[in-house]
Amino acid sequence: MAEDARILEINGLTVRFPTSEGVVRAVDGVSLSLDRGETLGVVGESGCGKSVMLNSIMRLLEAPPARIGGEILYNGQDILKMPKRELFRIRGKEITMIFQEPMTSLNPVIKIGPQIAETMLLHELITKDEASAKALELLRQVEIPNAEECLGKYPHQLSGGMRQRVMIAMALACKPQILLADEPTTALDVTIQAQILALLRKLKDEYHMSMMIVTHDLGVIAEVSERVVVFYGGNVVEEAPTRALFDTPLHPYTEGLLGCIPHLSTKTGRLRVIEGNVPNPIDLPEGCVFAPRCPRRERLCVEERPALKEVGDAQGGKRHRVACHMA
Amino acid sequence: MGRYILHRLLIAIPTVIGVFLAVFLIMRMVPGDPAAIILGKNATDEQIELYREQNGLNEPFPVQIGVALGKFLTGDLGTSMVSRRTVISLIKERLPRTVELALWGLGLSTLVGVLLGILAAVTRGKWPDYLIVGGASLGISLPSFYIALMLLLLLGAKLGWIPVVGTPREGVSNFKILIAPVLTMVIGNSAMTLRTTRSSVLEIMRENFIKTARAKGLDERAVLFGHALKAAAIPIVTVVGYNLAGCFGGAIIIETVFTRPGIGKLLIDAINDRDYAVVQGTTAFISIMLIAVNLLTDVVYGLVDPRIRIEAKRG
Ligand SMILES: Nc1ncnc2c1ncn2[C@@H]1O[C@H](COP(=O)(O)OP(=O)(O)OP(=O)(O)O)[C@@H](O)[C@H]1O
Ligand SMILES: [Mg+2]
Repeated sequence: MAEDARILEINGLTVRFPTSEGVVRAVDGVSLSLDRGETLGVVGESGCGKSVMLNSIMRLLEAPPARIGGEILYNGQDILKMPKRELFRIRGKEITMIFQEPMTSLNPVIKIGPQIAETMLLHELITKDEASAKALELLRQVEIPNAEECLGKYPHQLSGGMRQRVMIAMALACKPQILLADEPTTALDVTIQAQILALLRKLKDEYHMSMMIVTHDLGVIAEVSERVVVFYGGNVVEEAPTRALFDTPLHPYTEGLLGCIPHLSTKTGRLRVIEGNVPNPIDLPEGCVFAPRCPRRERLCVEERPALKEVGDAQGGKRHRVACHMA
Repeated sequence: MGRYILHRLLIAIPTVIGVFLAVFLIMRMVPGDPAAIILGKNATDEQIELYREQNGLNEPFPVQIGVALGKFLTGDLGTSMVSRRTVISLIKERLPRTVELALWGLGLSTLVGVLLGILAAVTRGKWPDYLIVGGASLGISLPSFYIALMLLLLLGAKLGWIPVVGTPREGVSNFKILIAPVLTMVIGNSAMTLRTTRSSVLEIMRENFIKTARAKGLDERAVLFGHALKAAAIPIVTVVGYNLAGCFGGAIIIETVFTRPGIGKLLIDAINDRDYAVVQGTTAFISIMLIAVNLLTDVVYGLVDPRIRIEAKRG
């Protein structure tokens, strides 16, 4: 029964890009899982491999050049080894994705209506009229004003926030099992960000989806996700229910990240930043990826990569795991 | 859109007058007295002098310019000193052949260019791509008169498939006369369309919206034809517009090599004869045509790109 609860399970995922400077190890052995109906937040600094991991789930990376290892099980079936036909059936129907850049993610020469209808015409046995009627309904669901008018508009006539709503409508068109959201609000104004997050949360419940939301913003995580995975240098360094992570962060990197959020209570409003730079993905450290920047570094940390280990009590059946020798 | 076209037409007027004046001056600077050339080697000095007087060649420069320009602006392109026919009637007679050649050339080079460009883009880095891109470089770097001569040698002299002289006459099918000049244009002009198509398809395939299309579950063919090509149409239409201009320009050289009596041949012959009125009339006509073609391209461009079309409707 426990296995059944997992809709998506990633085991030992590695993604490498050979480049002229060397092999980029964008994802370096990531294991995580997504439960049915759950919202999982994936947080980490820019360049730590979040988008690459998400794109691998949809098999959107061109491989070669990318070299992908490990397995990504969707309902027990490995997406990475799936035949093309099966993949094309799942993509856009059962697993859908919204992207980081709403401004450029819609085709500039096709009207909104047909762009949304296209997905339904592809995956469902419906007529064009039915598809555009559904597209209209979807636009209303994502709370676009003048939805009817919007169907006949081109992307450049819409603001970034509206385009992201259209992207969400498109992602929901076939009632997916899993929605992957890659920094859905990063490119938007703060007020719009809050609206989009609220919308995602509402729709996730209405559609009974599982959602994986990637961000470098802990505020977003706190807002929508039930569980968090912390990424650093292509590795998962900590995994915990959201509350537990905010209350008792165990990894020094997570602590650093939390220290970076400005609290209303701190008068100075200065950000505490983690000293040092993100690791170069071409030249990842042998030991713990965070060791070079870690205030609690010991010899063992430099020599051996720590594995994710379970710590503390499981909260509501959800584990708190951390990859740190010192925790 | 209407205002835009009007605006473009208004700037076209000084351009055409400028071309007219430039050609006037250049022709007068080129050595060679038209009277002497037209009357031939045996003409006496008196005959030449009389001819110059009659045709207004002895007037001072500014007067000559004024007279010519005045006539030009009222739509009178003058009369050929050689054939004594009006320039307009000469152009009317020759134009259909040039248009025929240019349009076939444009149509086929666009078709070939776009198809090969797409093929090269989807086989990027593999042998069809290398073959096509290599061929295109050759096509671009060979001058069109050279291609024309080689085709004439091969198809005309060696294989005897086509007549060596391209003047239409009884018993020779139009196809045989057209094929070599059109092929010359296709070889020379499709390369540009091909490169543009290839690079814009490749560029667009890297765009974010292509990833969106793939994420919808579309297969590669649907992504290419349903999404990438629609967006690539904009740069392709632009290059086809340039090509249309290029085809009319190229026709001048190609018609000369194939002795095909079109506008280009008319112009080259007139230059050799120092037939001032014909040179001026034809160049002015060609420049008006090129301006019209460019304007047409811009209008079509606007029709393809919704971003331009909608802005234009608003303003
Ligand atoms: N196609 C590629 N070829 C080479 N390197 C790549 C490629 N795609 C990504 N990378 C590298 O992989 C690493 C991870 O990139 P990724 O886009 O996943 O970061 P991210 O966590 O999503 O960051 P951001 O918050 O900026 O979106 C980066 O160092 C990036 O330069
Ligand atoms: Mg990213």
